[in-house]
Amino acid sequence: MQKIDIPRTMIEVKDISFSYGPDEILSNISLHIEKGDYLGIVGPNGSGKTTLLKIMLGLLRPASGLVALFGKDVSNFKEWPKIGYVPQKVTNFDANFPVTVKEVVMMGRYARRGLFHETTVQDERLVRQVLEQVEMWEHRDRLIGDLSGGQQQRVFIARALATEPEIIFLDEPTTGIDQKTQNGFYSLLRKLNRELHLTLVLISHDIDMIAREAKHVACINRTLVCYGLPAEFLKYNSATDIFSGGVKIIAHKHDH
Amino acid sequence: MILDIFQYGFALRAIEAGIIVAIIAPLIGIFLVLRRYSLIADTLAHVSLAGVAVGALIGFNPVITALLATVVSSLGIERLRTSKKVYGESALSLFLSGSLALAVVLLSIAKGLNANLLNYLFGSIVTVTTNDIFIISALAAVVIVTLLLFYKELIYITFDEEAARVSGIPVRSINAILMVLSAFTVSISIPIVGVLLIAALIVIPVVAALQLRQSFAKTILCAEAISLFSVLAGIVVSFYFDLATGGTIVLIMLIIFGGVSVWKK
Repeated sequence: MQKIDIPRTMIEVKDISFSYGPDEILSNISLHIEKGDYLGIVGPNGSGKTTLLKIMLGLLRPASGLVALFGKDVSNFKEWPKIGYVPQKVTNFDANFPVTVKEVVMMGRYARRGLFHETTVQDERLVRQVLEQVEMWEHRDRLIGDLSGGQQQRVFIARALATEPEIIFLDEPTTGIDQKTQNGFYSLLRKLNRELHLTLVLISHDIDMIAREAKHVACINRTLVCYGLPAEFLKYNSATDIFSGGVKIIAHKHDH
Repeated sequence: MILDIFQYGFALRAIEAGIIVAIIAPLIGIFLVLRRYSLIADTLAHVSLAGVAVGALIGFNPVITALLATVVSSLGIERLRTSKKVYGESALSLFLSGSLALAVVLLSIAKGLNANLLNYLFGSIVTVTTNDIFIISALAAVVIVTLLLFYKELIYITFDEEAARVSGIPVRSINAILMVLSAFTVSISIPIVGVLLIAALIVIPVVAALQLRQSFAKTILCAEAISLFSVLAGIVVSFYFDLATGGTIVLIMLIIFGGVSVWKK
């Protein structure tokens, strides 16, 4: 018998609004993320992308609207290990923090273990596995601050993977990383999405890359201005030029 | 004439208390230093002076009254800080100057305690009583066990508070626990280094160990080694040369810090 893969809603965002004081940052944003999706959230600087991500993760409370993770309201959500998070690190990172690559990735296991439980040999094995996956195992004993930006980002991906998540949120993961390293990074994400069927939500200002890599694109500018397939986004963008004077769009071939 | 330090009960008690303090201080210190909370140790130390003054006034064990004062204040500081009504460092200033003012007023009421006061301010191995040792050991046991229980959560929050929250760690409760443990540590350290130098004991060995750029686990071990050596050497040196114990310990720590910094340059 043939298996039918029924699309499953992982994240539901409904009519989210958010303000800092009198300043409305986001209004009426709705998104719908399904299992296996690769959603790119793009928008100009100050468009509220990161705020939206923080609301989705329960770090900020929206003024109105609803966020449901795996069918549960975010304020009652308990299964946090299902969610991996790669914060915007390269720019605000304490390079002197005394912690090795291995220790950072082990943090990813803490959520799975929970309070009052020691990590085990099994956790060690998983840490090795994810570090090999992102090709950072040989750097395991180096301090995180001694690595290059691209390597650090791989370690943070490994930490997210170590929680064995079903979805990973990434906030501007390629900031301050050179183009060649970025390409390697995006092919790693592609592998996670296509081969391991991990759902990805990626915030970026690199619309060129997002249009090429993601399965869906949500373009935010305080409100949801465009949401759909990358091709639709490219068409919309060339018509309206929302990133005025910003990044240039070059047409790329889609391979998914 | 050279005196044998081990012949004297008070010196032995000081060494016992010194070892306990030397073990505890860096364990708390590493989390405070890395979170830029170093000044909390100093603030709680001043609060503990007010506690000592209350103890002196009502004739109760000053370590216990200092403990109560620091625990209550540590939670108050954390509350003020997270409420965001007051800037973090302003909250510390309020408690630091407020408690010092209270201590000065209380001590002026209880006249005639001035000689004793110097011991509390700067630490003296003569002030450690058997009763103190008992209290210090109990508090130390609480601190160590609690730290072990929340060790992995504390590391995660210290390194990356936001990611720790997303992974489901109850960040607020654990921050409060860290504050209370800091209060415990400050109270434990009073008899040995004195109120004014407690922060040094919590901060300097960690800062020195950080210069070595090791893993988290190794950094703790190095800080422990520096702390234990400095405290023991400080007690012995201050005993033979009749110096203030707390000051001697802190100076030894600073020399080690200087040496490590120069060596690692």
